[in-house]
Amino acid sequence: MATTATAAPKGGFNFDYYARNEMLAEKGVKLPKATKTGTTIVGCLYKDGLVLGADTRATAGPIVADKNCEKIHYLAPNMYCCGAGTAADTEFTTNLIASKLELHTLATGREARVATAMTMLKQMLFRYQGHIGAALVLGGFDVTGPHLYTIYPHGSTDKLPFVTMGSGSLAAMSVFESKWRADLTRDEAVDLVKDAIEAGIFNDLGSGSNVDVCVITKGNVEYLRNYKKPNERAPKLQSYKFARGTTSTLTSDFRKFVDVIEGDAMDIS
Amino acid sequence: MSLRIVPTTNAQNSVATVGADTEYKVHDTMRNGIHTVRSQVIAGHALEDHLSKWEETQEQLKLNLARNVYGLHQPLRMQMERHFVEKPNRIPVLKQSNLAQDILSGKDSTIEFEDFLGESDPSMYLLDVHGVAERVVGLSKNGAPL
Repeated sequence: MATTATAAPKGGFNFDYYARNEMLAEKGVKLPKATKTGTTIVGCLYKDGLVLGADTRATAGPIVADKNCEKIHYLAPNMYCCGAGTAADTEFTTNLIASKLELHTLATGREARVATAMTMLKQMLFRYQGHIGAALVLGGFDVTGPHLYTIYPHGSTDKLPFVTMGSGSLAAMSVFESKWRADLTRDEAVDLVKDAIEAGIFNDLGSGSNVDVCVITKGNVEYLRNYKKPNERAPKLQSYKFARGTTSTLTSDFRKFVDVIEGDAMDIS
Repeated sequence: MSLRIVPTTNAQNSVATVGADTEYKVHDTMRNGIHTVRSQVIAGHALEDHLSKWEETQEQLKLNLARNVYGLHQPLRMQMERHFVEKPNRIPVLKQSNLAQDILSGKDSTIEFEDFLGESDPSMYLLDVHGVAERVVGLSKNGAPL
């Protein structure tokens, strides 16, 4: 058959299924609703740098999909980014920006600034008009010092000394607002971030499990995976394994019923 | 002269009318392929329209800003440079990269979703070479989608 197509599909997002789904919805098919997400991610500045924190629960609606996932993503050697919202979107957004930052670093020959990453992220998210569900906390240390930003899915940004994001952001913010000071030491800041994340873990149903912490200082990053595990699974008090021979059998001598012979090789062509 | 950042939203435009661009207002099957109901019934996603016009809007904004700041010669010069490197060198159904154009549009040192998501190599598909060529030189307006 002669081909008549004169336009190949373009790279990037494909919207073909949208028209189909609209048609199905018009005919009365019940389409699935958007899945609820939940997270607590925080960040705060301290005397010599900044600390990022995140919980480790991944929710898919009412189900805990992953009890120990990573929400603090790598962007550049001096920059990390916590992600809340649609897990795939935060993952791909941070991966793409990490690649862009690497290309930018190679093109300019110097370490990328945090403001550059922030601009890249907000411009990309604004372009997709909030359809990429990534709410981010960006933190890094560049030539101009430590910087902390929050980036909303529609592309707006805040620059603040302490920030929270996700469904547990209110619980975490209450901890920051009562205890944060500008002259915190490293250990005090890590402890405060831990407290803020734990407030999210215990008071928000969308957040849970463990606390991840990332301390960024001038020329150094300390990634403390599972810094605190407040929800360790308690060991069982007894062994519930069945002892060998619990189920009685009449006989275990089955070999007398079968004849094992060397046959032709199986036809696997 | 507008300094528009975001493309205009007119969803009506994306619902194509049957054969609007032909002489007798009948669908041109020979040129545009078999008539697809899909594109005539439901308008696409709002974002689809938005993204398809995004590049053009940004380019227009850049040209208008250049005109305001430097005078009319600057956008003319920018468009002339773009025009020089835009000349297609291969049959349109073959993949071709255009480094000069990437440099002019600032895409030589960046990466986008379009670069790694989805398939963008036209040589992977059975395309009508003459149809594509007609579209490229502006002889036919609507292309039949794959």
